[in-house]
Amino acid sequence: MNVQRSAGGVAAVALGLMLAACSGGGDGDADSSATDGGVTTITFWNSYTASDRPAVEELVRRFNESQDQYVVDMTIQPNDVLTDTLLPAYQAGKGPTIVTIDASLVPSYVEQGVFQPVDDFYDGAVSADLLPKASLDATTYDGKQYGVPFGATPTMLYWNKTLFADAGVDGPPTTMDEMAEAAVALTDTAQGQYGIAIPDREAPSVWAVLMWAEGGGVVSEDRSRSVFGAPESIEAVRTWSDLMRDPGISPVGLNGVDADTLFGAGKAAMLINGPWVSAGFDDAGLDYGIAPVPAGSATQTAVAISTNVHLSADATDAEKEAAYAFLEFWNSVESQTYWAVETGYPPNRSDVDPATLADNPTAQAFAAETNSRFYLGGLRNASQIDTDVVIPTIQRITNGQGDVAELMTEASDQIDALLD
Amino acid sequence: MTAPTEEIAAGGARAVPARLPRRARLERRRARTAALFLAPALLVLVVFVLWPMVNAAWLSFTDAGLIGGGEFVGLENYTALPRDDRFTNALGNTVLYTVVTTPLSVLLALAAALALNRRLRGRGFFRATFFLPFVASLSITAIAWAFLFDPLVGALPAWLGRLGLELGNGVRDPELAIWIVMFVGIWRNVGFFMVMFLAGLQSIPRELQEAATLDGAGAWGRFRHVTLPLLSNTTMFVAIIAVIFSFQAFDQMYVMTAGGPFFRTETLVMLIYNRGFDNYDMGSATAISWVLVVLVLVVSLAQLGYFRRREVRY
Repeated sequence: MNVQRSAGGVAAVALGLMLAACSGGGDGDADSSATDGGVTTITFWNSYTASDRPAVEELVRRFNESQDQYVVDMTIQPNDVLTDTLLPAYQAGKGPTIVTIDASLVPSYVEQGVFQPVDDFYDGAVSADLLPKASLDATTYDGKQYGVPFGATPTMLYWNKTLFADAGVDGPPTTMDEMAEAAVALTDTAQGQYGIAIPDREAPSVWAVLMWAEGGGVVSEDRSRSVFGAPESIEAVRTWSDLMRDPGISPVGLNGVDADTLFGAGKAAMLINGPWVSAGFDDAGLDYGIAPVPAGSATQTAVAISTNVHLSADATDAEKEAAYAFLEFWNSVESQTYWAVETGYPPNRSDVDPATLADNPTAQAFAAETNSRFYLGGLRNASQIDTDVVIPTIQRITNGQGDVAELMTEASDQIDALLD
Repeated sequence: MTAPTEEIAAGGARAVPARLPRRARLERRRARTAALFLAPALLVLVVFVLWPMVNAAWLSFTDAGLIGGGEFVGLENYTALPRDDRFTNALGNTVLYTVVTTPLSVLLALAAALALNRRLRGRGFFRATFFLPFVASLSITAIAWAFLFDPLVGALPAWLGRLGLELGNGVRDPELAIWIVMFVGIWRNVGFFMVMFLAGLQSIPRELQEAATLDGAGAWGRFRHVTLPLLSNTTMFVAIIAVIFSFQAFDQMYVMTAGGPFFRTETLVMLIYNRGFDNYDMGSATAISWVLVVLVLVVSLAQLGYFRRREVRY
């Protein structure tokens, strides 16, 4: 009898503990962004996990020490973890006050109602005229501005000076025709050497650049219809995919990391990418140059990579004020100069004197490139258009699985169906 | 005749004491204690299994995104599936994956178990080696396999190339990719199934093998007529688990191919993930999940029926 009673007691206590464990966490940190004794604390999520992390941490530390009204509590996590957890976190009321995500995701997040417009930020100390137009365009949705630039850069052409010199090819190429000729001349598949590394996924889109150069692209500039099936797009893709198959200027099916690795190992003579890869190439002792993406028959333009800060729809006025204070600090001349010199990113502000970036030639080179367009900006289904239609179509073409024009026309219809 | 009976009945009812007999009270208390002990496990099941399943079933009839409930759309998410190329492609890939990996991994596991059930040097080492892939994280080992199979820097294409075997473009090759992810799936599960078979083999009484030997049965005869029939319960369990594992294949595709090239390695679970967390289309994702649940249930029941009919007892 006693044994039974105590056994029942143990079970009851265990159940109680479990229920407590299940309901725990509901108290205390339910509202992690809070105003306490005149100090407003805001939470900030981002995914600067790579070589740029120390610069982000340092600038946040400087902001927190520069004044005593606001505290930025930052969490840095890998990009896929951040994007997988952000919406559930907002749903649970535990999302960050401010967050950086890729600009292509912004419209779908706005549709889910988790961000609020920040048009009034630009009435303050930082004028929109000074900031990258591609970033502002990419975060405009339904006529409202939803982002403040955090990190913005174009892509550029990296070229391996040693391989060019060994093959007797002059570099860097300035037109797409020259780039194609150089790529063919520098390809030696028997030696495992490729003229260029063209990734088809998980990288700033190289295929968009190749199509834009000839007057094509994926969607029209006004985002209203697909131009993936236009003759200019088809011709550009046909030219480069033919060269990939014969003489094999680039391996087929590379992802972004594969392409960077190939260039870093001196096995590819050219690569189009952002500034963050330069640190790895320096470490590898590579002798390389950075040049603007070559001009095509229609235009010269690069892909704009744009990471912006977005404000939670749940942010209070005090939190919004704190967020704006931080973003003004982040986009000040002093912070942006530090950011550029430390990371190689071009400064967000156009009024930063290039001479002050002399300590980092990568930043200087990237700051000089002003022609860039955001790939699939302001579209609710941007990620679906890219991963479900564009990438698989390019993969089919580069693998020789069908006629280029037929595949792209079919894909173009699918893209039109995904545009609202 | 009836009156006394009624009277007795009525009297009987009145005669029931307010307190239950001791025995019944004991039973009730026991049941209460048992319920309390079961409650934590039941709570976990309800919160983490039953509730998500019921919730997913509801979501599959809505057009819900990742946030918010969505609107009721009836069977739309289900009726759209037969016309959905991505779904039929993923279903085909999943069926191919299951049809190839299930028998191969079960047979290889049985062969490994038979080999390692005998006395031989380094038996423990080999058993551990076979089992290791199952306890290591598949996400991590898949990264290692992706490197090994890489056509540019991988060791396997280089070694096989010397033997005159070409691995083409490795996991980037649309024809080869699915076979490579199947290979990794088999490699991972064989050790686990082997341990199941080893346990089954050890439960077979030695006398039966000896009796068969005395009756003049050879090694094949003993295996065919004694070992295999007595292993039938284990084989049933392993075969069902193997099919379920195959239907749930995800990790190595996610890591090695991301479902590509052009969806050639996209399984149903990959598609569910894509629909739910890339496209934020929870309605479609949960509808496909329920199709998968029903598929697994039907196949498992069919397997159960098949093995039950062939069950042998001595």
